[in-house]
Amino acid sequence: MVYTSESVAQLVDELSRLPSIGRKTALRLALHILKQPRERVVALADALISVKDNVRYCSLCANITESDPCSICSNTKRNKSVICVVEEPNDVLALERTNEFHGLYHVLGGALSPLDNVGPEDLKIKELLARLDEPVQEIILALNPNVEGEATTLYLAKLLRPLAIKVSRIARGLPIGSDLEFADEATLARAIEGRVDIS
Amino acid sequence: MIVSTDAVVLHAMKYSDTSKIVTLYTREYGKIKVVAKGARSNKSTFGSSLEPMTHSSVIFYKKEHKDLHLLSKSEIVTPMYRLATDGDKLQAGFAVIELLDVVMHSEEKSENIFQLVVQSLHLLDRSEKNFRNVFIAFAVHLFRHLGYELSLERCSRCDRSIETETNRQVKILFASGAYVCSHCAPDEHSDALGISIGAVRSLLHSSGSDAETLFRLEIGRQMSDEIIQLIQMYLHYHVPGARTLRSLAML
Ligand SMILES: [Zn+2]
Ligand SMILES: [Zn+2]
Repeated sequence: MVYTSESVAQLVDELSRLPSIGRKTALRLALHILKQPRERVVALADALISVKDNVRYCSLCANITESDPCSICSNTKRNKSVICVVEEPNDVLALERTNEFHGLYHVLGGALSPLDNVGPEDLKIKELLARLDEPVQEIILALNPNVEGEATTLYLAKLLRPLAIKVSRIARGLPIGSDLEFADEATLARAIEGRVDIS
Repeated sequence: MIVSTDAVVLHAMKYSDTSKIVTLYTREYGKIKVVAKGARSNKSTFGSSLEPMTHSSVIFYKKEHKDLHLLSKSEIVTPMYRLATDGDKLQAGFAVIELLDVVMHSEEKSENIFQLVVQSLHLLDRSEKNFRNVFIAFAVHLFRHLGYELSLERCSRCDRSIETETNRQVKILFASGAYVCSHCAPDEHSDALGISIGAVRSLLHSSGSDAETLFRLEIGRQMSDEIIQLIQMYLHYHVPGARTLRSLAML
């Protein structure tokens, strides 16, 4: 595509780097941004910079946060003896919506997936092990119900087995191939409630 | 054009909030990519038929001169329930599909290779131990179908059988995949890999045996590491630019 404006070309270029945004969609977004009042565009730009400057990863659970430790890790009312291991920050949000889980979380940042070039060293596994000195009695593995999630669950279960900690996995009620974040609250609550001991 | 074929799922990637882009190795059309609309929803009719390593029967709208086709239907042909019961087994399965993904170019079909991959995944599903053996046998047969067979039984120079080899280390020439005995092997050979005679014999056994023998064959860790390294180096030699197989690190 030939653009008559260097700035539009550059914006399209940047936007099309975003996941599932093709060049056509990027151009549509760029033209939309162009039509907005200046304040809206500044607000968008500020939000983009702010997310990068202010958001970091909690040094305990690796969830996204603006204060370290995050509000969940530093909440004295949470049950510190249970850690629920999830793939992404989205999954924490989904589980929090159930109001069923009151322990702590650990966000791995993905799942084992060789074809995506993701191995154990790319996930926050070392960080998880480092937390087990705390008074942890149970680890709940709540990974996505798909092959990569399963590979990660089995890997972690094997890794944690020698430690004297109960390891459980959420019940299989979620359809395989779907995402934890799309499960409704009731299904997710049941999955946590009906977790199975695999230690 | 609406087409239907059998396929093995290599990879599924999130695409938008609801869809996936799935890489399939199909019986009729080789390696292709399809968009599976709605596949991320938990009410999706695709069910678990788009999970990596699944053998599925698919119907898709094949767009001419396009790299991405539109999946309309997919269902599991034969479920492999036991594949996901063991982490090491799953890694061997990943290694099988990763190797296939690396060597196959798009829309290059092969009935032999299709049957080989389906059979290898079924073997893994059935196996209870020695999962690496299934991957090793798969790789050896795959190289043969691709035209760079390893020929290890006799020295490529003097035709001596490997059974009579007295040295503990032998050489395999990268270019031809041929074994060269210790009488013939010039030490200065640069395009050759040194490998223990035990590893070569294990390789021969694993690729020449029936399923039950393959499952029982005990290859020591060190030897199977040597074999895996050979497979990786041989792959690099014959498929320039091929990436290092990630799943092998965990296998
Ligand atoms: Zn935290
Ligand atoms: Zn010879």
